[in-house]
Amino acid sequence: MPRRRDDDDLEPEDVEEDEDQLDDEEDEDYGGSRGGSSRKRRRSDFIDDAAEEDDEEEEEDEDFEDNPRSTSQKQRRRSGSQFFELEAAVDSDDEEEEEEGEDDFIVDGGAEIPDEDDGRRMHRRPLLPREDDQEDFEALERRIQARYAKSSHAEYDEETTDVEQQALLPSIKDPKLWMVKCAIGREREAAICLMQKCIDKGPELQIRSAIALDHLKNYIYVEADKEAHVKEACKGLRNIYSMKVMLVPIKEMTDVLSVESKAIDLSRDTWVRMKIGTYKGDLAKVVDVDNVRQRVTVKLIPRIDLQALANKLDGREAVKKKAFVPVPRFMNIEEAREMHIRVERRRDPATGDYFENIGGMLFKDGFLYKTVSMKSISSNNIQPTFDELEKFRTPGENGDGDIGSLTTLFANRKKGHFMKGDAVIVVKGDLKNLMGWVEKVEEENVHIRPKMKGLPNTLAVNEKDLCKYFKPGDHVKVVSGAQEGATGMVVKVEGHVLIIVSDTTKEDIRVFGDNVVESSEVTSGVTRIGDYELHDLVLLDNMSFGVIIRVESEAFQVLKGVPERPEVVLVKLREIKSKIERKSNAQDQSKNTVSVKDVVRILEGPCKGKLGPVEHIYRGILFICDRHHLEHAGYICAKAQSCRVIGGSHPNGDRNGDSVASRFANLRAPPQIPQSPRRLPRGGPPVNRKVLPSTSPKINVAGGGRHRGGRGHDSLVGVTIKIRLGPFKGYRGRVVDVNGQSVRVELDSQMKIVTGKCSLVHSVCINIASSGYLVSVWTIIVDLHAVNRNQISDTVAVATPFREAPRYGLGSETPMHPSRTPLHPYMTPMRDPGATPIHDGMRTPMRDRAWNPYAPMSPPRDNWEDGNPASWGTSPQYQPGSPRSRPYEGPTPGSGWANTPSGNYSEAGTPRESSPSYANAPSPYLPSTPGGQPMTPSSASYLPGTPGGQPMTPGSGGLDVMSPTIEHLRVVWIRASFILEVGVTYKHLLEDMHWNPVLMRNVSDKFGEKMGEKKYSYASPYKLSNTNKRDLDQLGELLVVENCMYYMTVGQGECHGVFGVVGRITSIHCRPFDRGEEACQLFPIFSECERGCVGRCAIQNCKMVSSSEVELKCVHYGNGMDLCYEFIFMSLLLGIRIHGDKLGVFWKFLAASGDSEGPWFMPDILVNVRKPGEDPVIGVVREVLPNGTCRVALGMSGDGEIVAALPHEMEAVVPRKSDKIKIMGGAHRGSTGKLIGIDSSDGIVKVDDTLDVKILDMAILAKLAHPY
Amino acid sequence: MFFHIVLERNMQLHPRHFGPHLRDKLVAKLMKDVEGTCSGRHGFVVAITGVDNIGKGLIRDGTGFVTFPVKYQCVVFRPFKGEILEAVVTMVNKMGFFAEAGPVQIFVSNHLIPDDMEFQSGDMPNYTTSDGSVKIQKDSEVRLKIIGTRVDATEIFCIGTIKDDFLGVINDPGAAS
Repeated sequence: MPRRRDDDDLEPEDVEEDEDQLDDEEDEDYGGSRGGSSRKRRRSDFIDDAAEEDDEEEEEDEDFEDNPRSTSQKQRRRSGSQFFELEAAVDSDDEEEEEEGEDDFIVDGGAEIPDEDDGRRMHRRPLLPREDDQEDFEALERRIQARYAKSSHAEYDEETTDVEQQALLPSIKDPKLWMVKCAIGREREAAICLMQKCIDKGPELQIRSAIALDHLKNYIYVEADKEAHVKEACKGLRNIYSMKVMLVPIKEMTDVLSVESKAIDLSRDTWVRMKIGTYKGDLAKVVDVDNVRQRVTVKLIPRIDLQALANKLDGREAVKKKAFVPVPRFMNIEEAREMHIRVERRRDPATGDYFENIGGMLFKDGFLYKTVSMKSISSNNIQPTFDELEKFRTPGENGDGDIGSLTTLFANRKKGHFMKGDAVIVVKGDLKNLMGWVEKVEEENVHIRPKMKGLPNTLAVNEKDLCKYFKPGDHVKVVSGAQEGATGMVVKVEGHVLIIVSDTTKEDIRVFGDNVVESSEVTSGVTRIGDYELHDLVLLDNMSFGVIIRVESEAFQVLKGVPERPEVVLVKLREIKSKIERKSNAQDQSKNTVSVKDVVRILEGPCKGKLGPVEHIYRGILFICDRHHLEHAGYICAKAQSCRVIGGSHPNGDRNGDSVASRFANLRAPPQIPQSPRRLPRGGPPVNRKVLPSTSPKINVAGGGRHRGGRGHDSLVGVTIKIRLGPFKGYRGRVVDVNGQSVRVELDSQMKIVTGKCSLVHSVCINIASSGYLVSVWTIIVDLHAVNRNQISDTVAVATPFREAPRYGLGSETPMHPSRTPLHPYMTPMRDPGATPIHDGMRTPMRDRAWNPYAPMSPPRDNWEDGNPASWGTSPQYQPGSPRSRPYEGPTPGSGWANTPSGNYSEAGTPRESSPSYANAPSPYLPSTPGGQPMTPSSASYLPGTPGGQPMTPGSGGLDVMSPTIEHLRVVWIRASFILEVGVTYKHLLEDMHWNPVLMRNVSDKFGEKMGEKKYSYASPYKLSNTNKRDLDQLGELLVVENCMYYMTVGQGECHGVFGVVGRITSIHCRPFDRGEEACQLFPIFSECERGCVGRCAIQNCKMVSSSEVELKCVHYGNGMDLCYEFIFMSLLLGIRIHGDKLGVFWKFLAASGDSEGPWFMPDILVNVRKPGEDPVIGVVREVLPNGTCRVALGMSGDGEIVAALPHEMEAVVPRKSDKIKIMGGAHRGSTGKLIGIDSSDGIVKVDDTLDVKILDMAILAKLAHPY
Repeated sequence: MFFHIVLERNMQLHPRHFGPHLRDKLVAKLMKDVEGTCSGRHGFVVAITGVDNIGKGLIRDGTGFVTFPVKYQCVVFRPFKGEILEAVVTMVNKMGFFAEAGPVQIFVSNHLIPDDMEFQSGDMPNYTTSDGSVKIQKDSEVRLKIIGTRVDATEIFCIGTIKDDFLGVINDPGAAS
């Protein structure tokens, strides 16, 4: 026989191998494969009736089952038996684990054409090229050895030592295995085709073998020395895609062909599973083993359809083929008799037991006794589940099966089952019931240290005689089986079975002692199947919805969203339509908005009185998680209307304020505001106000801004944001983690967490002295250069209110004056000498009752009281309007805010007497609306041009909070270097804070350019060095912000939104701005943000007043008037913080200035320039200078000369229908669009970039110049 | 079991408290911070009975907070395996009942309830003996033995049994009324 490994150094083995091979071949020749062996047996053993019968029975079973596959296979095989046999031969080589069904078929085929078949095979054999035939894989040999070792060639066992085995492993000199793709389901066919090709072509085909594995779809293996050989061989074969040929690494070669060890150690009472047929997958118990014949008698729970059986026995053909498998059920002989099925009672000669014989099947005690081939059962790793074992206990049997099952269980133990220190008990043998601890584990033996005294220190016990021992009270974790992962405490030990109270569900779990380990870990076990996780809100098939309260092995328990009663359904994965991730809000009984995580109390219904955080909201139904509620995993479903938000208003207090009025009314009430009596009726002109008093209510509003009484998360974490740049642009998500400048965001729409960077740190400035209310908000823009964080911006649902009230765009006036008012109040806190703004309450402002504006106010604190007035007195002087002549002059001492009646005010600073808007002031009672305009304008637009002589009305004070004035926000820009501690955040959602969008928008607008969204030309020199990353008192990261501009907003009441990250300023250093460029850069913003301000401003002076306080003096000049501003920043005394993280910067804005009314010209718009004494000329604004003047290129298309024009000399050209326009104000400021219609004073605009159609005030629309 | 032990803790005090009443503030804060907490080692701190020693404060850079090491005596309650406790039943369900002994929640599984007691569902779920003489329902007082404890960061959870001599109901509110 030519050897293919002639050069091998394994000659000695070769001989042996040879023999072996011959042996094998002989065998194959004779019987052709594994089927062959049985056939051989059959031929010799025809005597065995029972076996024969049984085989037939099996066949019958198959027929009965008759699945299309088997028929087709059968047909195919019968028709092309040649292939079939070949295939079988290959199979036998490759695949030991053949399915019994095929076995049967082979037998069939064999029975039909046995001789011919054999003959053909004999003939064919010599044709096969040697290489192909002799695919003497060591694995194959080993397998063969293993197979025959047991029966006839037992001596091999001794002979094959490990070393020899090693030597048989493939080396580099051996041919290699290549993995080739083939059509799915055609693996065998492909292999056979190759074989046929080999036969046809003979030695020119240089591959050595082809292997199709049953378990590997889509691929076959080809053994060859070179890849080219493989390709060559595969060429022209339809089923094989030889495009990609992969080499199997040498190490893995054996794995390809190795089979699970065949050494089945079957013994009686072993648990096995059927591999084929009707009983496929069923648990069976071995009752008898015939090693010689390789047959096993097993005990099964019959799956027999008696009716069908009866029909069959009666000779009536069961017409319809059953698609389903009958359920396992114990055979009831009586029932069978009733159906006139013949039952014979026979005695088994071997055992002497009586069996009922029905149609060739043997039954005993309801069980089916069936003799099957060893190959048709699997005995490895059988882990009977509890249910199965329970079922196996016959009615009569009282659990004596336990021991039997134990042995199997033990047999199937994993390696390393016992660990040192495990408590064990001996369950077999003389030492039965001896307890001890594992000392050492050797292969089979476990050395235990017995508990009992008087015994040797350690005893070696066979692993199988040992069982883990637990006692009630042990905390354990289930490490395998259906309940894997669950933890709990053992409450009862029933022999080998433990009853555990699960930590999560507090329910009983029954597990095998073998499957658990002692552990202190607390987990819940499986929490997810597919996309759905425990506690997800899911939409079910029938449009109902619910929360997953439990994940079982293949199904979920879902608490449905039916508030009347807890309704739990068991749903399969496929019955779940989708996960509901939408965040929605609902209104509680008192019309408070309930959002996720709010703590609510259930006021009605079966769960009345329960209380817990809302986990999900859907269609007005809340899912509340009450930790103390033990049913349904703590989930309670309730109607939103039957709940109340904890910390929410009481009935009839409208917390969420459709009408701000009511809210304010509330606010006014607090008795502790001494001045309240003095207050003017809301909306009335502010008069005579004392700043101090008004403070508190206002602050109230501010901080109160409500909030989320119960929510405790103080961080950006949880904030919903929208990503503005990068691949996820436009996605919304929730911040899950903030680390330095990178932010991890969980996208709402995808189950995905992305990491982004954010350039905006929104900081909240808190007025500490005012009992923890948030007073003002400022935002720090860090680092526009570095890309850090800049891909994220807060989702600012672009402040709808603004859009809705376009007229504010025009009437800038109204908002303005109000804006001033709020300032004063804020001052107080800073001034407060007591200044320790941190009251206890403040630390947790959010949770604090005080925080909630609706909650009764706590009485004024002492320090507050005495501090304020005093401080007011000392408050920095305010110089309403310093004349231009002395622009740089310091503030005139004297008129403290407190004393300045509003009247003064207007006289003082404002050149223009009260504008008409002023009169209007009361009218716009829409607190929410107005702010927007002023905030939004881009730097350019807010040009000083129009001196808005709006008097500042400091007077209205807190009272005015209620007045329309609320609407205005101011933003102040300051340049400073400071150390900011970020990473500590407030959790405030913006969703219902309509003013926040303004702020945010403002920020983003301004840097929109960088953000890629808006086009503003302004860029600022910001620098941030993210250094000094030092953990300071666990607060977070320190950022050194150098020479940074940041801005602050000041406003009234609600304007002091609460949002964002709180940066703690640990030191601040401001430096004065020059009048030069820097100043110009600075103050356009200033004036832009603060609409009233016109002209340039420069910081004239800046000094650190104390370690915590910075004073800035700014001079503002423009439009014929110069104003002096003075700012004072106080970073709170270093070391004062609120709730560990919120350190506000107090600031004070002491100056007022004239107001400008716009319009805010923008580049590219067409304007009419009217110079005094000249005719109006049309031109295109080319550039808007910081001081408000514009550089206008004359001519319709801007091709004329460029002139400078003051704002008041210009007038935007009113667009006509279908003109291209540019929006000069409002939320869309800067956008271009097309005017598609005009409705009196409103224009209907189709915005270019969003294609939205907006209705905007004509006054903020300007005709866009044609591109030149 | 209750213990009277001495514990130590570093208290951070806000600078605004510095003044004549510093000590009082510190003690007040200590009580606020500590009482009612639970640690795995010592169990629940029930009450602070005295402050032994307040060490020298250390000013924290950057914050102004001062850290004082405080030694205090307190009464702690820690349940042990095998301990016998009296507890009030707070909830009864088919899996067993929950009882509370002070801050400790104890679950008594139905496997650990004598076999002759059966669960009766209804408005007032309870476990009753077949003759109806003994009934465990909400607010019953039971004596039980702790057979297992699980200590979390913030709570101690116990499994108890009443399947033993001299354990079970000691006072039945239903009977009293």
